[in-house]
Amino acid sequence: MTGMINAPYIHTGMNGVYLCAVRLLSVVPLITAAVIFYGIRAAVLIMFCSAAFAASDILFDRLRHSSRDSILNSLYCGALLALLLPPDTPLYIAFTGVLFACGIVRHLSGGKGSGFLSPVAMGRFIVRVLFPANEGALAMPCEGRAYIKSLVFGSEAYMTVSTDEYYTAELAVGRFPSFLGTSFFFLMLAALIYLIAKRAVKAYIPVSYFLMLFILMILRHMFSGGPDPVIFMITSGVMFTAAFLLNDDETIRPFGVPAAAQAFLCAFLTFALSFVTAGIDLIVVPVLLTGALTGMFDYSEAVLRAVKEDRLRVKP
Amino acid sequence: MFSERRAYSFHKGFNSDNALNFSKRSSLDYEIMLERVYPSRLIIPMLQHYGKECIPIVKPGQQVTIGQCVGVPEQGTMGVPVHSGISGTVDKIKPIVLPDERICRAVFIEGDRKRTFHPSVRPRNNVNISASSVMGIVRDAGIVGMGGEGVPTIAKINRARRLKVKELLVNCLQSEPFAQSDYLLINEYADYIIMGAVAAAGACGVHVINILISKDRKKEIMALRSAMERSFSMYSGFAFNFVHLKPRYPQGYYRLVARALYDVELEEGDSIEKRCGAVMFNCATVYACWNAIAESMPLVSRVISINNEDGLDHNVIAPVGTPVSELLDSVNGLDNTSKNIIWGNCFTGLPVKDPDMTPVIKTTTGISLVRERPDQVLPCSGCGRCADVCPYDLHPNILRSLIKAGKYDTADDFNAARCIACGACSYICPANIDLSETVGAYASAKRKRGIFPYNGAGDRDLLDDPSLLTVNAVRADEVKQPESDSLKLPFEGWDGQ
Repeated sequence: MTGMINAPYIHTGMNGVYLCAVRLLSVVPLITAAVIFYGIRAAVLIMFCSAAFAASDILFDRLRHSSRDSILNSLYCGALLALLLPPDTPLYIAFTGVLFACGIVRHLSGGKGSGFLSPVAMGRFIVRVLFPANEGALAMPCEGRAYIKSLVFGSEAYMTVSTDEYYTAELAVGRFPSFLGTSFFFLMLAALIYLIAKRAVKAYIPVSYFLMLFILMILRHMFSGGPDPVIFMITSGVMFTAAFLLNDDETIRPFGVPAAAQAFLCAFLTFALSFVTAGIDLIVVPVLLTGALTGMFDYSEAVLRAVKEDRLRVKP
Repeated sequence: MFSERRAYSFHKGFNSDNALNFSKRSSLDYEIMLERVYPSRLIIPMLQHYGKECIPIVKPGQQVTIGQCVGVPEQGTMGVPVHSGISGTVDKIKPIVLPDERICRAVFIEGDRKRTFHPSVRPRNNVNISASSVMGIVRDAGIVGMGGEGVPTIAKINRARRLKVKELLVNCLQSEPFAQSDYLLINEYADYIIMGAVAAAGACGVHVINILISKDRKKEIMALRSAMERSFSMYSGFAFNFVHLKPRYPQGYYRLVARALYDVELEEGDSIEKRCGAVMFNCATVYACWNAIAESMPLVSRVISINNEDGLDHNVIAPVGTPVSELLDSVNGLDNTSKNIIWGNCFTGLPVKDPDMTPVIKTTTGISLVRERPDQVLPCSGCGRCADVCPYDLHPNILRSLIKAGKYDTADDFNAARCIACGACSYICPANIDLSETVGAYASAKRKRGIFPYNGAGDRDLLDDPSLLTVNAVRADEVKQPESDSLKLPFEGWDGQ
C-alpha cells in the first residue's frame, strides 16, 4: 500500500508532458527542413531560441516562486518563435523576442495560462516592431548554408517576401525567400494532421480557420481580383497559424463553440489584414487580436454574469 | 410489450471507453466472469446505509447462519437491518473505521465453511404478494440503494408514494470506467431485475417502468428484452419502456438523468420524485428486491467488480462484509502488490488503509487496484479541457483558483457548490491537477453546512424522517392480490417497527 491519493485514481495518458512532446515532435520536420534550406545559422537560431526560452522560463519561474512547467513546452515555444524569424536574424534580436515572449507576456501576466496573448506571437510581433529592418533579413533557400556571420551582424542583403518570380512547384516546397519555417506548407499540413491524430488538438479549430479564410480569399479573388487564393494559402504562412498558433492551449480556447468562433474571428481578421499588409503581420497579428478580443469578452462576460446573479439572487 | 426511445444526454462528460482507450483491453466483455467468493470471515458493519447505525443483536460465541439478522436499527431512527452472509461463529463486536471515515460497530464472524442457511431462507411458493408485503420484505431484507447511494429502499418507496410519482426508473447506466458489476448482473439475472422492477413499481403504486441503459449495451438490452418476453404474463398491467442514452460518464447521476429524460434542471433541495414525478432505483437494488421476495434471501451479498488498471478484470458475488484482502486473495492471477487499493471504482472510490479490516458493504460496487500516479503536477495552462468535460458546465480550473484564493463568494457565483465530484475534470487535466478534490470538497462542505441542502439523493430532510421506514397500508386499487403468504422471513429480533 502506497501513500494516500485522491480520486480519480486513474488519469488520461494525454497529460501535459505528452502533449508538449507531441507538439515538439510535430515541429521537428519543419526544423529539419529549415536546417536543410538555410544551413547552420538556422540550426543555431532554433537551438538558441529554444534554449533561451527554456532558461528564461526557469529563471522567471524561480523569481515568481511558481511551479515549473515541462521544459518541453519551453523548447517548443522557443522553436516556434525561431521558425517565425527571418533566416538571417542576429541572435540578439532573437533573444529580445524570447525575453518579451517569456518574461513580459507569459510571466508578467501571471504565468502560463493566465494571459490572453500568445507569448510566441507577441514575442515575434515585438521583434517586428522594434527591429523593422530585420523583416528583410531573408535569404534564398539552399544558398550559403555555411554562412553564419548573420547570427551576429544580421543580413547584408535585404529581400522581401515575394512569390511572383517563382514556379508553383517551388512555392509548394518552400523554395522562396521567407521566414525559417513558414514556407513549408506540406510539412505544416503534415504536422497539423499529426497533432490531430494524436488528439493534441481538435480538428475543427484549424479547419474552421483555414476553410473560412480560403473561402474569403476565393470570394475576394472572384470579385476584386486579389491574389490567387491557392498561392496565398500556400505561401502566406497562414498554415503556420492554423497548425501551431491557433492551437495554443495557453490563450486560445481549445474546445467547443468558443474555439470555433475564435477560429472564424481569426480568419476574418487575417482576411481583413491581407488587404493592407503581408508577411509576418498576417501570421501573428490576427492571433494577437483574437486573443485580446477574447480576453476582453471573457472579462466582460464574467463581470456581467456576477452583476446579473447578484441581482437575481434570492436573499434569505 | 415494451416501447423504446432515445433520450438526449448531456453534451459534456466523456465516453469512458474511448477516454481509457479500451481498445487495448481486448474483448473485455467476454473475458469477465461472475465468480462466487466464500470468505473465511466477515466484518459486518452496522452502518451500511444512509441513516443511523444499527444495534448488534448477536453476541460473541453465538452461532449464526446465512441470512440471519445480526443487527437492527434503533427504534425511531432511520436504518435497515443487516444480516450475515456466511454461517459460523460471532468472534467479536468492535468499532471499525470505514474508508469514508464513518465509525461504527462491526460484527466479526468466523466462518465454519458449512454454508448453513437460516431455516427461513427458502424459495417462496407464492410470489403474487401485496404491495404492503413487498414493502415489508424490502424493509426487513435490509435493502438499500446499491448504486452507492445507500438510502433504504423502503424509504424511497414511501417517499415515492407520498409524492405520488408516476414512473419508476431502473438505472442501468453504470458508466464509471472499468465498472462492470451492473452489466454482469443484467446478463446473469435479467429476469430478477424485471420482476424486481415490477415489484418495486407495485410497491410505489406506479405502472410505468422506464429502463435506462446506454445504447451501446446491446447484450444487456437483449437480455432484458428476453426476460420481459419470458415473464410477460406475470407483469401484465405494467408498461415497460427502454430509454437509450449516450454512453457517457457520469450519466447515471440522478440530476443528469432528470435533465436527459425530463429536461428538468434539479436545483438545490430538489429531488427527482418531486420535480419529475419519478422514482429511480439501481438495477442491483431491484434485483435484491426480487431476491428477497422470491428466495426470501435478505441482502447478504452483491456483485462486485474487481478492477485492475493493468487490464485483468473480475466480477464476483461476495457476501457483504467480506474483507477486501480476502476478496483480492480469492481472485487468481491478481497482482495487488505495489498498488493502491480503492474501495469503489476508479473515479469515485476511496483509498483503503487496511485491507484486512475493511469490508465490502451493501453499496460497494467495486474494488479497484491502481498504480500510484507517477505524473508530476504542472501549472494550469488554462487549456479548458476540464470545462469541456464538466457535466454541469462549471469551470473547474477557475473555481479551483478562486477557492484557493479564498474568494468564496465569487466561487459561489460560478456555481461551485454544484460540483458533484465526478472526477472527470481531474481525469482529463493535462497538468494532473486534482481539480475535483478542491472543488468537490468545497461543494460538499457547502452542502454539509446546510447552505445548499441537497445531498446525493436530494430532499435530505424528508429522508431523515424515520416514519419513511413504516409499511403503510395501501389502497385497494394498488393491490394486485392482497393475499400475502405466511412465510416467516429471517429477521429474528427485528420487530419491524
